[in-house]
Amino acid sequence: MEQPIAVSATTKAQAHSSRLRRTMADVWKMRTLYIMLLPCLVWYFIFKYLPMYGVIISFKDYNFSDGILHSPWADPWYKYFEMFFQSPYFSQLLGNTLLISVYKLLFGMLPSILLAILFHECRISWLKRWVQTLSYMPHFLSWIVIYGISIAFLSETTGLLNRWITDMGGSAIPFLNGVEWFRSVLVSTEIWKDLGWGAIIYLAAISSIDPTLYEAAKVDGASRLRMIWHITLPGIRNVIVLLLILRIGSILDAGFEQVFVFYHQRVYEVGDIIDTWVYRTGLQQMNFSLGATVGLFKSAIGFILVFGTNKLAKRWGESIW
Amino acid sequence: MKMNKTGATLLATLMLAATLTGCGGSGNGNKENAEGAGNGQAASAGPVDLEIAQISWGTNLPGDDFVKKELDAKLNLTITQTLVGDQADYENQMNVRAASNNLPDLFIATTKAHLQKLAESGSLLDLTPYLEKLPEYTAAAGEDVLKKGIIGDKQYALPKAGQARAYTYWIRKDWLDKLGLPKPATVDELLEVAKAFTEQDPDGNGKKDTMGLTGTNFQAFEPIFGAYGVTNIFDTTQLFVKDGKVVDTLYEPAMKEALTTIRKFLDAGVVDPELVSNKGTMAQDKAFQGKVGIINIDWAQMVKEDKVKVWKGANPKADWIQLDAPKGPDGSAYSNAVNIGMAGGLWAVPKRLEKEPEKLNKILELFNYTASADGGRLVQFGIKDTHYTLDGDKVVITDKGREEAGYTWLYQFAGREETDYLKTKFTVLATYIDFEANMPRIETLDGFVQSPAGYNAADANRFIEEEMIKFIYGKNNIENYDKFLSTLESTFKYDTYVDAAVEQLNKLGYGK
Repeated sequence: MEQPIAVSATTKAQAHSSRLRRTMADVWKMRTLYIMLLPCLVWYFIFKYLPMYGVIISFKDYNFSDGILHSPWADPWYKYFEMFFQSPYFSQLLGNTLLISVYKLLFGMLPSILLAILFHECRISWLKRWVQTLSYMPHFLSWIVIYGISIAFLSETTGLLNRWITDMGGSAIPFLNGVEWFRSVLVSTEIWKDLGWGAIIYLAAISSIDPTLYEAAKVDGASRLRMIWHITLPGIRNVIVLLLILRIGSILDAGFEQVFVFYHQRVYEVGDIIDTWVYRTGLQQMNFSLGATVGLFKSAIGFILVFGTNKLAKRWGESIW
Repeated sequence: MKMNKTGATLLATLMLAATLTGCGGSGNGNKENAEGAGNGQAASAGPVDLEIAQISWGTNLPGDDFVKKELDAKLNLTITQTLVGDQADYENQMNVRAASNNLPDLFIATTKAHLQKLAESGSLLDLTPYLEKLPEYTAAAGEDVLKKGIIGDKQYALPKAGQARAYTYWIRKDWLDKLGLPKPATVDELLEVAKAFTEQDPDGNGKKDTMGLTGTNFQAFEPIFGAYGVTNIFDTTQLFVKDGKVVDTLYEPAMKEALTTIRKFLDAGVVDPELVSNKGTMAQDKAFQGKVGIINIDWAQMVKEDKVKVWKGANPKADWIQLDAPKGPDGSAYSNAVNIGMAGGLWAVPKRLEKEPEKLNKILELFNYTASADGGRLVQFGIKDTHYTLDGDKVVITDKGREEAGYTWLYQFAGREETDYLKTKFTVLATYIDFEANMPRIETLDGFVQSPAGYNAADANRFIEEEMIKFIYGKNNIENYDKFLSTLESTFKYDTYVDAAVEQLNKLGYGK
């Protein structure tokens, strides 16, 4: 019984070491490329991996004069997780966060893809250039500015839109005040802000599609719609899947800055998200352990989702890794 | 081949994505100033180095810092001020320095909670035994002010004396005159006037585009709460002393009546519909633009020169006047409450000064001197006969004083007599300042209270505010008020907070 196992173990070890040697040889052959990669890896290590040790404060009663290492351990260790999960608002926060995120994902991705295709199909190059530049301008505005613009248009008392409505005999609509409209306003302002910016990445992907494919299709008599359907869309499918997976990973980030600027007590029930709760409970009351705990929770969920969706995508023949 | 190309696209896209996330991820790097600690031990004969840190809100020390020169010379000091413009930044810096046991010799704790954290972590010196060396300061500040700096039984901070008593309803007198209405004196009259302002076109433009009352959230109704002898619902204004006992405004029987009255204002449609969502100066802007006739605001935001220019510019006929707090059914009338526990400038000293008595003594001298008449004038107004002149006991500020002494508050360690100070600085506005200072006000005590463990103030506050909004907007009937209270206790443990608060306040001598 023992003999064969030992044999297979040695062969395995041999196979393993030979594979390792081959990999090392490959690395050596491509050494210039790996050296070019090095700064990036170092950056990730220093700024993304090292700070991770701070995660332990979610299991500690963090106290800044004792520092991260010397603060006492929380008792029980899940104290802050419990505090988060047992908040009377937990389910509402989770629901709001998911809803707002999913809306943004659904209504935010398609328009960007569509816009990228339109840019690609546009044959008047100066028009394309101008529209493209204008379309991603809003991305650089801060949410405060966008809130100001929203007030100017949507305010119930002073907004332009509502003044038209009342002038035509209607009654003013509480776009920014009402529970009914709040999420729609969040989603639509987000789309307005990031429509053009989101299109850039798809446009880049489209422009890397081999032009001979289009030429061949033209020769075969394909119409432009056909070409979009059979060449452009399949050509950027991997990018779409990639972005989808990445965005699903951050589904618990519903956009703190935006919600924080837009929300107020009357719309808490539809607009309060995990991050704004953490701001009020963790930061404003100096409960840093709680903030770290929620961050850890969100990352864990995000990790599971990225992993899961990637598995799923693999079945369709697309995946990030 | 195809595989390769897909791979290349993916790689390119990934790299772009990485750059994008890179962009998004940066920007919140911790700003850590490499400020020297200034710990150099001075020789016993030479001047003593003191490093003082505080939030400057953008004020800078001038090149010719005459207050520092005067103080340095008088007390044999070398003062170095570490100024940080922004509260969050400041707190970060102090926390980092606390963590490395490198706190300044004297610094401001930003809030009571901040002070509590620092004290609990053992970074601060208990100043109780040194109070007897501070005769001038303790006399000027008084017991109520000193209480603000107490955590547990220990004096961990020396609070600045002086608190502004401001805010009242302001009303458009020209609108009242146009509609032939008298100044409203009671809550009912206030409602009638607000209705008239909304419906009878007081600006005479032929459109129904004016509103009665605006404000930011429940702050707009504070005098109406006052008319029922209760205070506002915020967590800074819930606790006060009534008939010798600490009471919580939410449990006061008159609270229901106050809410019912406020609902009348909302039902009548005379309140700015954006009341709750108004942020920053939005409410004030609406008033200045001539859209609203009544607003709860303070003189500083209304009649300072630059403000008058704004509303006179929008409408030359506009005339804003102050209203007395409106009377309720039993004749009670209170304007905005004063949160006397609010931490306005808590000066703390690090624990290590225990072993550096010469520094500690200088700090005590500094507090005594700035609390004295002489030193007080120096840090409030500047140098005598340059920045101000004395007419008997009265301070008259010179032109040079107006120009140069804007920064001197950075040296007001012991605080100041607020109303006198403001009246001297803004002589023309003295009547407005006095009007608001003399308004009857309930003194709230929330600032003294430390939340008990396990009580989540953020959740409870959200629940209170949301439910109150439901009551005044008619989304919930006031008959369910007791149900609201019991949920507040069972789900949000508010009772533990109130119990802790009463106990702590009794200990401080409020209500026995």
